[in-house]
Amino acid sequence: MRTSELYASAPVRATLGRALRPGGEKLTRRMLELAGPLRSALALDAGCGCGASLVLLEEYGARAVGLDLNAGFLRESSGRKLKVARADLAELPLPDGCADLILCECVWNLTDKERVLAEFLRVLRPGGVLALADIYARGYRAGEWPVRCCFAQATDLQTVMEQVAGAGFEIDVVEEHTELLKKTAADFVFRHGSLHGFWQAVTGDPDLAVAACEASKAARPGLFLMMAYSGGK
Amino acid sequence: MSLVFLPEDMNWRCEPCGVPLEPGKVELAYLGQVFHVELPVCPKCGAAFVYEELALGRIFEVEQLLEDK
Repeated sequence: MRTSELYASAPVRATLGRALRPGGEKLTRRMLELAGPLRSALALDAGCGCGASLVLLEEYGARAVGLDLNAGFLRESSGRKLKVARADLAELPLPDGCADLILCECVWNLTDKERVLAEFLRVLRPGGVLALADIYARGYRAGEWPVRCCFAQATDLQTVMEQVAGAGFEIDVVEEHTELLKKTAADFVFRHGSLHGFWQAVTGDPDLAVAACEASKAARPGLFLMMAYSGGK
Repeated sequence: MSLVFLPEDMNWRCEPCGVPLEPGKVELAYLGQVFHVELPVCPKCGAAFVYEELALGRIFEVEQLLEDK
């Protein structure tokens, strides 16, 4: 089995719960604190999943809207009176300059990255904030990932910064949060006996599991947080 | 939620206290990370028993991972 939705697989969901990403609420809260006062701000959660961060955005006083391609996740979030819609992040169904904040957590690597950054820039008001968290590669590995997932399109952090700045954003903060990713990987090991056991549970294929372990060892995935502004602060 | 790690043979006793071990909640901490698990614990002194298979398997791999090895 090859999956484009590692985050949606049963082994991942059993460990991560509603947040669907390493770091959970802790990383989201850190980004919302860095974003500054959010009362009445229009905040888009780009790739909102089951809506865990939408609940936090509302807690911070923002008017939160979530978009995701996964209809199943949106259905899960619908019981909580959250404003969500199904959409491709490369074609946001939103007018120019409408959003004060875009939150994008461990989703960007799964998208057409440059098109999505261009859409984020279009939809943010001048001075609006992009809060981006995702996997990056701390090591080097050539070739395709054996399992299509959020690691597959991850690059080194310098490339991430060049892409974000190249799209027209002004980068304000970059933080390293790899410890949170390691904690998640360790939780997978405890639950599945080993990382190989985890990848086997995800892929159902022992050879793919070996290949995924080797790829991970070479790429040495890390987790970053970035705050970037549209058109200056 | 704690993951439960009990040996197949739970017929273990705490030698100093002389009482049988019972399943109990334990916090494992390493390099700033905390994991909540259920292990055999002495109900009298609170000592937890990490059996060999767990120590050389899951716990060893987690240590390597947290040490970035």
